Amino acid sequence: MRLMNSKLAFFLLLGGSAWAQNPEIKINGASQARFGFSTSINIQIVRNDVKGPARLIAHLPEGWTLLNPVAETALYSQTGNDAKAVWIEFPLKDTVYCSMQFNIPESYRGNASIQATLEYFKNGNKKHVNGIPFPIEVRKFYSRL
Amino acid sequence: MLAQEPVQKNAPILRTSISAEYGFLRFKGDEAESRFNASNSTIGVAFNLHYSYWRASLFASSGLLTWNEQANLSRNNFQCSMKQAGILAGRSLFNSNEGKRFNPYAMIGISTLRSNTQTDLLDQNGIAYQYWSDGTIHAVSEVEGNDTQAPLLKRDYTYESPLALNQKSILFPIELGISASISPRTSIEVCWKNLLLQSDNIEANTSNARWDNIQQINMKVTYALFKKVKQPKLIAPTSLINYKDVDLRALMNEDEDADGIVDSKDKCFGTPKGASIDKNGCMLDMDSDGIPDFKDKQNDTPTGSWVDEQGIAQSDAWIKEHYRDSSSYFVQVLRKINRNSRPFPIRKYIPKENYIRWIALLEEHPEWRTRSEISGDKFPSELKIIDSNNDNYISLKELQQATNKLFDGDKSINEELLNKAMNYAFNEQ
Repeated sequence: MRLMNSKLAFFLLLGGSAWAQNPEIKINGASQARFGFSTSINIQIVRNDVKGPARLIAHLPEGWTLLNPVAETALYSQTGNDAKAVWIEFPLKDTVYCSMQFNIPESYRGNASIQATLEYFKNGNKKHVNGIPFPIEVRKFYSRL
Repeated sequence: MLAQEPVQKNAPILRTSISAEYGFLRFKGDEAESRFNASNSTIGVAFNLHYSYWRASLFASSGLLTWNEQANLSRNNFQCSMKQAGILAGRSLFNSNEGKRFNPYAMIGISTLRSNTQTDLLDQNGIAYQYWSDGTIHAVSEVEGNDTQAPLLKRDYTYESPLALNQKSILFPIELGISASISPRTSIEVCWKNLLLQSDNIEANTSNARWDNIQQINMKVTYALFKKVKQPKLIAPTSLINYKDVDLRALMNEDEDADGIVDSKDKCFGTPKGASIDKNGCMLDMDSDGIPDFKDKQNDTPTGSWVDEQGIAQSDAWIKEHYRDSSSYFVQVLRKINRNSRPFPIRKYIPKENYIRWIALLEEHPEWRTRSEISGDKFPSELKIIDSNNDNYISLKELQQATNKLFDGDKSINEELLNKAMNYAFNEQ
């Protein structure tokens, strides 16, 4: 029994440390947006040992454009449907926040989903981690849910 | 004493307008009484005059009034076409020059009415209607036992039989309404009109000798013929201003911050009391540490050092302690720009992640750069692969491109090179 408990503790410890070494991504924002207007999302990155250069790619719906990128610690750009934020040196904070504002074209119809991927280097090898896709209901007017 | 300008009053303006109106009629006679409905309607035009609170209207209209009795045994009916012309005059609640959006009004007047009243007695084949007690219409009168053989007729609603033709009447219309301005020249008016006739000509029934009465609910669209001239609103003076006691010479020599330099020559207003100033009225700062002498507790601060709010030089350790927040570093750096072209006494405490902000500042302010131009031989050769436009300058855009290339798998760029490029852009340029 004692052996079993110590094994369990070892695996829990190992599992916990393994979890701690992977960064995590969470996307927050308004659940509804209006076509022809802008909307923003806030991406929370739990750093978990990410160092050096890193890149966050937000995969956008067709026609959406990134607005007002301001150089703080990250540099923003858009290529096709990918909005990118790059850090030459990823901040040494436990949690790093990245805000992006998008313009939704007037012609856009239907709901949207934004997925984000964080790319980074670990021991010279490129790694990436995906966040859970964030759904946005795109409507003509906001409505009470 | 300076004479005050006499107060001008708004001179009333005579304004003219035309209107088109459409409305519904209601009739009340000796026998007939109808309600407002679409089959009793009127259409007309008017020429209007507006002067201050007063208004007058010259109008002409044409209308059609139809009445059909619905009782089983009494099926009287008539249709009257009317042509009316007259004049109305009255007053509105607000002055028409004031440009109020809503302006109620009341008018009374006199008009003439020419009417033709006819009734429907025959069907389209000229057969007279015979109304039976069960509500049906037949060609023969109702006789007991004859109901199965008598042919049925239908009303054709053609009012062919004259009752009173070419009748002329005098009316005394009363109009109450409200005008709503929708543009500087256009307004919409809704009004209720009561036309009291001095006759019984409409329904041609004088059984109890009560004069006929017509009521109208009209909607008008009114358009001003000439553009309204906007007059300035003048405010009456409450008192006269007396300049007799004003000392103009003292006014010229005023020194608001009392620093000894008159305002006309003072380049620095709001100098605190007790501050030593130069000939322009600006506070002296002998050691140029950014803290004026009257506040400075250390007037010989060594060049290049950082000072606290009292002008006392502080060590790097002190600065590190007081400016932990990275954004404060930049505030402090910017404050030092005036002293040295590009001081970095606390550069070593700026975290690497914030280099991007500093490089962005250097791009906004090229005068802060260490070197305005970097010659090709001094530019590190290994960074040429990142310097895509070959201007010997590593820009933010080039750093961004290089980072994207790194993640896109471009073998020519690695982490070390990117780090070197960023350090170079931050430290050397």
